[in-house]
Amino acid sequence: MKNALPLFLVLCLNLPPGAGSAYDSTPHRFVQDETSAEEQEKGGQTITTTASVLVTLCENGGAVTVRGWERNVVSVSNNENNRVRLRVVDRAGGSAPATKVEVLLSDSRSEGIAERASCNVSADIELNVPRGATIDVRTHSGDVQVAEVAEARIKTLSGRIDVRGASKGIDAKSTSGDIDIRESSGRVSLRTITGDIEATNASATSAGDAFEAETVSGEITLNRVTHTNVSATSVTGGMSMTGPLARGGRYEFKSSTGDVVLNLPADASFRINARVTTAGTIITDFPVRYTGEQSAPSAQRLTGVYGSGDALLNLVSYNGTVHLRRN
Amino acid sequence: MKHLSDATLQTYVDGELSPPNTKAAKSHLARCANCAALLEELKDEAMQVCGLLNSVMNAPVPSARLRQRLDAAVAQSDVQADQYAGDAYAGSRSLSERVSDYFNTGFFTAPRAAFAGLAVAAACLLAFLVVVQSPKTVDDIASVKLSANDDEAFPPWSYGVQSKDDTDLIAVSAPLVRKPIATIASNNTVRTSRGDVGQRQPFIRSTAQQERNAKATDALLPGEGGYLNAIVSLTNAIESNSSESLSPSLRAEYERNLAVVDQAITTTRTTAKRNPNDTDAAQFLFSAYQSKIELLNAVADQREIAQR
Repeated sequence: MKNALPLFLVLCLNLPPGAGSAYDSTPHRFVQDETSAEEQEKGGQTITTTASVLVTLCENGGAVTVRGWERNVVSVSNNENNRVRLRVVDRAGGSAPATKVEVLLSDSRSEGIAERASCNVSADIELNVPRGATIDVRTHSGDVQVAEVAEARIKTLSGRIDVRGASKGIDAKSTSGDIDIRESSGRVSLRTITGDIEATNASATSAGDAFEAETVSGEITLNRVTHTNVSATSVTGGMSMTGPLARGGRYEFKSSTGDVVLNLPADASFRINARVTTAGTIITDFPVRYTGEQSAPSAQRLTGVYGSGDALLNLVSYNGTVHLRRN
Repeated sequence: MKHLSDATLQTYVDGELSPPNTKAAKSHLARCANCAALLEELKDEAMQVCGLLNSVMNAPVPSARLRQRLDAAVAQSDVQADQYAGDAYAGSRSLSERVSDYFNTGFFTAPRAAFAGLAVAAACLLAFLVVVQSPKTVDDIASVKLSANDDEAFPPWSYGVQSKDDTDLIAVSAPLVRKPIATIASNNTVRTSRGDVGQRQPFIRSTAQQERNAKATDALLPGEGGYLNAIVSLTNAIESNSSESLSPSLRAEYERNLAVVDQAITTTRTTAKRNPNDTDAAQFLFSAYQSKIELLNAVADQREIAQR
């Protein structure tokens, strides 16, 4: 008993920092500190956040899946337990919900979990976030799937990007991966170099929301994009849009060597400025009333109005075909 | 339909194809839009090169009388130089004889020799530092060559030399380039056109064709210089550090994309040159340039990511 007190002190002093809050059974593996009062689930972590929390993740490979849910909680899990944790970067107050959360990954070869983000680690990650959250994901080769969040900012080298149900905006950049967005609204900016871009059922939430798609050699396919300001540029790829035109909408479709095809409903109403070079062709299923300055339209330029001219179409294809199809 | 090879087209442009082959090439070109477009590009390049060489090719050849006068003037200046040196025998004595005289007259005492040696060493060191530290220009980068490996394994570097008007052009259209944050390199040996040998493998390399383009591009399009400067800055940053490297798969991915972008730049530049007043044509080119800048930025990002 005389030796018990020194022994107790020695044991206490040897505990790792933060051990008073949570410490798992694996030696030298510190799991959680500032979120110790919150729920911890098998294979991952959860943190209470604000509804509009910003969640960031940077990794090398592996698939990233993000889903929005009704809870104001961020939850993370991966295919290998305890290689991932959440870190609160910022919070509204002392013990207030987190406003910014970072996903930390550790290499499977290393002991414990990193205390700061490492983009060199590859792991399949599943995240659940509040529907009002903004997601910021950077990855090299992993595919990224995001569903039902407010805003998605995604940057990948060769991974494919899929976004469903983003309510406030999308900013997606991929070097060679394809980008596919569906049922989303807000400002949309999609850029890729060799990948294809496809957007279906996209809409604006405010008047200033623009839809921009740009690729160097990929194809751009837009279905029912109802923004009032839509632009698509592909240097060598083609592009097509299917769906009604927004009243007062402005559409810019430009390709250097690819085709520009618009599939429009019969009741479409637009003004059009279409241009090709001698190597290109303009084809229209709509009887456009010519309004150009020249006495007659040329084969390389079409300026005119169809219907009451509600939307403005600026279409350019240098060496391809500009085609207005009537559905 | 079998297309004409680049070599055949180039020979055709140079007028060195045999009559039967010329006839066959003409026949094919009349039916093939792709080859006809390539032919136009080659002709454009040839015109640009001719434009650059015009001043040299049209320079008058000195006549015999002029040659005699020049020789006399050179001889006269030699005599004056000898007299200025105060050496009555200089005109008839070799350099080695004059150097040996310096040592025999006792001019080079031991302290003087040591001082001279130090001065020469310092000058050499200074010259070496200037060469090593001097930033690369577009032209320098365009002439980077690998010491080994397949010439075609790397995408072409392209487009232009820096123009004196670039500063104005930047103001016209400044590309969205972030401050380079990172560098990459591998451990392969590199030899540049200046003879530098190092452990750097340039991410971007040139082909002979692209080098010709670079030298022939005397007239940059308005706004093009800004993009070229930005690309040069990023490339310098990427190549300046050999401590980090890309994984082979990432490197291959970037190189594949870079080749696509460079091809797009080539295509759109040709179009823009043919349509100098067309803003859309210029936009396609600038869009391709911007994509290249973003791609290089992504390469530069790798160091930041690797260091995390």
